[in-house]
Amino acid sequence: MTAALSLENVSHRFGASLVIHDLSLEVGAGQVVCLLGPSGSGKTTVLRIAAGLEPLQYGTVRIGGREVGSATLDVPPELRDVGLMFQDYALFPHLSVVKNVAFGLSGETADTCTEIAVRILAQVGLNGYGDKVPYTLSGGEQQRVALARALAPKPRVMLMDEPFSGLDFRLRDQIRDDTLALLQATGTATLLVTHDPDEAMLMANQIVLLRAGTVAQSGSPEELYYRPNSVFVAEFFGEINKLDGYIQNSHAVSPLGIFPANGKVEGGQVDVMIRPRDIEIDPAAMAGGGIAATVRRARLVGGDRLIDLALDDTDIPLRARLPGAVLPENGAKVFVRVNPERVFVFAAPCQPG
Amino acid sequence: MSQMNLIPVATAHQSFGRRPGQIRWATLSLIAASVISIPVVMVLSFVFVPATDVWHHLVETVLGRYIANTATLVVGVGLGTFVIGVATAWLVTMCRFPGQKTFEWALFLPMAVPAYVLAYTYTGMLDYTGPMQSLLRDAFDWSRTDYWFPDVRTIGGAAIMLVLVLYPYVYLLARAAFLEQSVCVIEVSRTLGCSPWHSFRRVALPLARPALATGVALAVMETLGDFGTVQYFAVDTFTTGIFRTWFGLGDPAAAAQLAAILLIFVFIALFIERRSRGAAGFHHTSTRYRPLKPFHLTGRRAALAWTACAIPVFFGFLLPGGQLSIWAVDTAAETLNWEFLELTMNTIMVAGLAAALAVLVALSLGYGLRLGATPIVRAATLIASMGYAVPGSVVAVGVLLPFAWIDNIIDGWMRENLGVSTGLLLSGTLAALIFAYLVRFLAVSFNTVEASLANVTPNMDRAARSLGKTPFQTVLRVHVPIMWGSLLTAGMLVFVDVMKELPATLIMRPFNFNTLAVRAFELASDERLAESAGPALAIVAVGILPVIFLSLAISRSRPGHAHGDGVARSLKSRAS
Repeated sequence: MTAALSLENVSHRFGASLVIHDLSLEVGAGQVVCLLGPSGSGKTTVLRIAAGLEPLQYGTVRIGGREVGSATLDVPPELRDVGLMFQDYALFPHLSVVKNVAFGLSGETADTCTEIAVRILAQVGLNGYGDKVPYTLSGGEQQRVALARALAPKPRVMLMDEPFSGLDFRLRDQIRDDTLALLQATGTATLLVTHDPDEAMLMANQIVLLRAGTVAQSGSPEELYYRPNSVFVAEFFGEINKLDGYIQNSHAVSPLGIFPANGKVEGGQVDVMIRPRDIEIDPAAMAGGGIAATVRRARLVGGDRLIDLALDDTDIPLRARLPGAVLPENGAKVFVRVNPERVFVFAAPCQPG
Repeated sequence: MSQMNLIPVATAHQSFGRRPGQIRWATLSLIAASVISIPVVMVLSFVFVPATDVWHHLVETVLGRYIANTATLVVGVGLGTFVIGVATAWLVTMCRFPGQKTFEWALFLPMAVPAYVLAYTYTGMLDYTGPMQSLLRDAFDWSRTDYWFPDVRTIGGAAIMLVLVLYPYVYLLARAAFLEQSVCVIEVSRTLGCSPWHSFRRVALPLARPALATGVALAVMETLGDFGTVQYFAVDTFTTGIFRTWFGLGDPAAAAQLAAILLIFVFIALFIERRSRGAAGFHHTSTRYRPLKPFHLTGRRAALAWTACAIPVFFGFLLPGGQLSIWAVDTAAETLNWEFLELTMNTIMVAGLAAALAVLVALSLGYGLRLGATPIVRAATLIASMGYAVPGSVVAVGVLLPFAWIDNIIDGWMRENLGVSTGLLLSGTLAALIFAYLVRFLAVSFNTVEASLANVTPNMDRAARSLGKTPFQTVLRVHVPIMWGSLLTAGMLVFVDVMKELPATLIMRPFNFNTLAVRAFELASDERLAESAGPALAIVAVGILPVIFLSLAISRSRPGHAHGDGVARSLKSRAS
């Protein structure tokens, strides 16, 4: 099956700076691919190239197997069969809600267009909103109108640029779920740009994590979260403990213990990383092995215990996040254990000097 | 793949992608902006032309007086507009008293009256045979030598006329600034032990300082550009000097040099205005806005507040307006004739043409910026939109000089090669006059168009394109409907400004071509004050349009949003 949207070896420069370097990705029908990355990583530019808003410089763009952008070809956005959604929704202020939604419908009579628009508005849960003007709507309602407007012409590909970041966080989860359901029901291929790793993990079949215009890692949410390929990827998905280590006998030696390190240079420096959630602690009284540590501070955060520790031997700080409500005393002695499968080992970047 | 090398650098985030049409558009707007900037550049270049005998004569005789008079006027008008503008703005914004709601908009009314109209209306009212002195003589049975009566036709009188019509700039910006101030800041000052008067002086006023500086700078620019009032009162300033040097002494170069010196004053005011504008953005430390809790005034205090607001409205609008109406009715039989109709048609024609052109050029500049805001395009647009600060007489000089030069070249070439003299092809034509209006008032339309173009966000373009619309359809179905109202407004503002414009029209109009403003001024200069009331009243009546627009815009604006400011700049550039 051909992908609904494919980018092959796309590169792009603004003046002297290369903002996208040799990027390839594919989105299948009914799939959601998230372009994730910090700001300035080039993710919005990728979206604009896919839409035809930015002329392609190097590489190829295909939609439904048809070439729409290459060195010699530049199909304008209106002929690409894509829908676009923006962070600011960009509703037309001079048109009513139903006219906004009907804007992209053509080749039908005015009545049919209105009928289609009303039906789609009902799908996004906006029955009876047709005659309102955009600025009287709440943020969530505007977002739904924008979604309806983009979906109305039944685009093969939906391109979304931070479509949920303007919303109140209480609304966000609900609208995200509704949007996802609608996109899957219509079989639309979706490329979604976001800087929020949680959003990407919630929405995506596949995540493409960008760093300064290059793909840092691409794969399923599980792959990126549990098998990151670099310090950057591991750190991007949330707070993580990072300790210094070195390779001895093909294993990474660190203050937290010795872990398998497949194929790293013998004697080389490594970063040993573990997420706060993957650390377990035992009260000193029930000592059953592990590394001695002292509690420096303990707090409750949203039903979890956030415990800052210091390893007794080395005084290295460590943070653990554990379920439960009973906080240990400051200064309490505990033992730390980690699940070796959740420990990531990466070759450390060369130290200056 | 070599196509990439042709793609220009920078800011592509803001535009659609770059396709050849957009580069052509940028070039077009660059050319337009350059042509508009010619007159100012021309005048400034005369600083480097060797001085003539006339210039030395000017320096020895009148230059000192020009500088002294201009400086006196600037200081007087600056102080006057500041005091009246701030006081009335504070009263109607922070206090509640009977009539306060009416004063909110009525205080704008004097803006509709050109200063020169006010000047000869007061002259007519206050001179020996006028109603005021006649009344006094009848009442007290005085004769000519029995009493002293102030002469309005002095530099002091000129300053008062200008203050009366220019204080609304300060009022407008001060009011906007006071409205924007979060009441929290003022309440904090109260809890820290300030009395209401102290919170005004130590918190509200300093907070509003950038806005007030902007307002005063705008009033000062108008003062520097004023021609009609000072000419009528025979006060020698730069603007009258430029006029006299050109036409009396027949020395365009010396006139241009005077104009260049005047421009230096203008640039100082402009610099202050721009700098204050920039500073104004940093003044809101609290994002929380709560409506101001006004002071309720009663009794003697309310009466005082009412009087303070009534004085500028009465003397700036009601009294002169009433006098003009009486004169106009008295002379209606003689003045309502074919000539008046012709004057009106002429005025509508030039104002309409200039307004349409100004909107078109502003649109092309606006799109030029939107599609490719390279530093060069940006700079050219900035220079082109500075005309609102340049006095009409300076613009006239700056337009006539290059036009005459081109005329001479064409004429010389034709005579040499074909043996015919073409005479003046460009100078003294309507085209030259309308070009001068364009230079002077482009900023008025450009600010309005730019603001409305900003309402059409780039994402709306992108949305329309992805929904299957071509760029042309996007303009037609998204841009035009959203911007239509603003385009009309921009055109209306330019129309009114052109209608009131005096010095450039006086200098540049084709032979035998009169407008309402010119005719009113000529009649007044010939001591036929009552007859001039008809055209003058017509100008004032049309001048009320932008005042209504302004009041509406302000009543619609919400705190925490930029307002007043842009409108003020659009309105800035009244007849001088």
